[in-house]
Amino acid sequence: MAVDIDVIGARSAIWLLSQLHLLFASFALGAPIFIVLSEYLATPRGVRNWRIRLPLVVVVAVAALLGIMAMHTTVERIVVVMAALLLLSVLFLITPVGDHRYERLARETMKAATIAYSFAAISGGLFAFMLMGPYGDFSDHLAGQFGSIFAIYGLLIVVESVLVYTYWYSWRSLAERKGLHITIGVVMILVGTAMMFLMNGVGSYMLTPGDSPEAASVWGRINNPSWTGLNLHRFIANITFGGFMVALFAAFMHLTTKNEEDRPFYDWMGYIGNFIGVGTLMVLPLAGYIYAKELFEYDATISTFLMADKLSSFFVMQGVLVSLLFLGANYYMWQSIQRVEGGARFLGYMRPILTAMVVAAVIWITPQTFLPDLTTDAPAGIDPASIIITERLAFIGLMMAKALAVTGIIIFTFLTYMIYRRAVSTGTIRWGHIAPQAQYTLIFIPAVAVYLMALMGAIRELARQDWHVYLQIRDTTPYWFTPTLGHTSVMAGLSTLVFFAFMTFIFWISFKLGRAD
Amino acid sequence: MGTPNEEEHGTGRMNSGLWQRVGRLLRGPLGYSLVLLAIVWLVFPLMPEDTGLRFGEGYQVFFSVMIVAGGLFIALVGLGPIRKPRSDLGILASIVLVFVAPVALLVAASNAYLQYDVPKAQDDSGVVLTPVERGEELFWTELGCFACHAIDGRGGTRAPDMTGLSTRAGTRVANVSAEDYVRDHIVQGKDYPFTVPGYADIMPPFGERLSDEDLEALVEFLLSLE
Repeated sequence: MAVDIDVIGARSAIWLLSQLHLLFASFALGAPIFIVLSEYLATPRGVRNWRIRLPLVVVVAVAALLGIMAMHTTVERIVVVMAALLLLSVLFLITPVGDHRYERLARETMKAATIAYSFAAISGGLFAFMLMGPYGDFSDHLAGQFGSIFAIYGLLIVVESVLVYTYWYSWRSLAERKGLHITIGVVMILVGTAMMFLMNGVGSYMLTPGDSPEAASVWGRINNPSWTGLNLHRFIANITFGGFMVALFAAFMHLTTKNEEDRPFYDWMGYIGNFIGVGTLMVLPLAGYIYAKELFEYDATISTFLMADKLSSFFVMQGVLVSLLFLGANYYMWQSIQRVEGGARFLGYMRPILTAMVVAAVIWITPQTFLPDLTTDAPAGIDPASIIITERLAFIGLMMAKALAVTGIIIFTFLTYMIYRRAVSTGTIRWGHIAPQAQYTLIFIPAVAVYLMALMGAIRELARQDWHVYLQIRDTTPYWFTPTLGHTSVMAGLSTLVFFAFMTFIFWISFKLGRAD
Repeated sequence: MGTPNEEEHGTGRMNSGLWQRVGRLLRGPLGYSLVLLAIVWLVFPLMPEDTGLRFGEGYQVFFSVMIVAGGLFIALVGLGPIRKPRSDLGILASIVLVFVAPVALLVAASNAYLQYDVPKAQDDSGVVLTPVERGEELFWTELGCFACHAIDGRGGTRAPDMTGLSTRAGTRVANVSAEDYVRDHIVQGKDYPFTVPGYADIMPPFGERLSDEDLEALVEFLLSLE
């Protein structure tokens, strides 16, 4: 290795920077999706509706046309058409509610997202510089394979920056021309998503480069076997993440505000953020299965490495984390029911439902063995039989049981939401009248979500084993090996806390110091 | 001071209040947790070993941790509104604590899990391996064959166990020698025309990943397994 980094080593330094970049970028890309949607919902009911919708329809149609032209197979074109139809149907079905709170939610979140965008750019630049030093040969390889893509990506960064700042700074001046402002927002989302898809192409290429990447075209390398799965998973996860971050911000403001009039608004904002987070979280396991299936079909040994070998214990922790997310979100919903007049009469269902979810979570995280991989022996003094599940009970450790448990958790979450809807339909919501522990739950959930993102990101990268590009370029640096779960957890924890520190700074500078000025 | 009778009544009321409180606790999450812990530690070990239904001690500890954590969670959800700290500093500290504590617990839990060894730098220059030793090295490290194939019970179960391969490789495909069968199967993977019954056709082709020497070493190692 030509250059190393003292104290923590080159791999850990790059790990931390790339993870921070991903977290900021996820927020900066995920939050605008519902920021723009919120702005749309806030527009007066029925007033100049078509002047708002028509530009959006044109933008979606143009994007779909470009997508169809870029795709190679009929199936891919059908997927693009279906996605466009889905977006159009959303545009036609969702009508503005004329609630001014959505406008405030959109504005306040965008204020934080704009600063997060700057942090994403800074951490991305640092990550790229850092990669060029210790991993110079590998950087050269990527530049050779994706030179034109990096050029387009650079151009898109400029375009996206212009759009982000135009969208933010034109909020007041375009207050009377909402159609134009929302259209700028939609274009900003589309460009941001295109940027993410391009880099997903590079990232997924490193794991599934195909049989002969040297002979493939640049598009062939981007459109590699796991690109679609990764795109789908990250797109949904970004919205989930954005929702939870909005909830974090709302809880932070709810707990710290001195203005009693603000409290109902931040209570409502936290509820909306959590609702978006949980709503999209429910479909994430399905997106995860689609991605995993692509990896399995590409090379079954990757799946074995993930689920049965060195990364199996990482997936036990993943089960713990996703379970905590669902339990936290459901607990928050039960707290929300209590702020509805007469909602207390539904509380009898709370403990049985949460208990059933805990049981499902335990089934999910029960491993087939506590051994960390396929070759490690049981530690001295421990009988191997005591840490390996018996053959007759092995079904608890199999995918079928896990999938059923996850499905159960999702169904119970849906049931909780149905009970909430029922409570709301029979009583008035008293925004602001919620127990403080509900706000603390909205802080707990993002802590788990950020840690989960860091862990899952590590799993995806470590799936390459000792290869920079799987089966193409071997990692010959001193850090070629798969780190332990312990080391990975320290890196994930560190990323989570550094990110939290930066987000606290963003909230403080935007809404405390900024407001005082 | 009350009369002895009144004191007796007072003590009796206190006792009955205490018992009522204990009774309420036992009817709640604490009671259920205790019952479940009793099942894990008293009933599980009674299961005859040949039924295959007995969880090992590692799982008993795991389930106990889950029961305690689950019980605490269910007890927590029944709590009424808690009090928020009064000072700004207290509120900020509580926010930081709620964010940092779960992260710290997750890091601690991950480090408590059994870990595999990571390789240490070693000077292996000048060491010459025999073909069988080189094949064994390929199987257990570089190629990661063990992820799907086991030897003597160690390794994955997605693909056939390699134990005793030398005795059956020559009988798999008519008119194909054991060496050719093993070599071609490694090179072609799932494209090889024969798949062992009962297993999915998922083996990647390793032909382009192996030099001629390493391929022969791996074949020699696999055919040395009895």
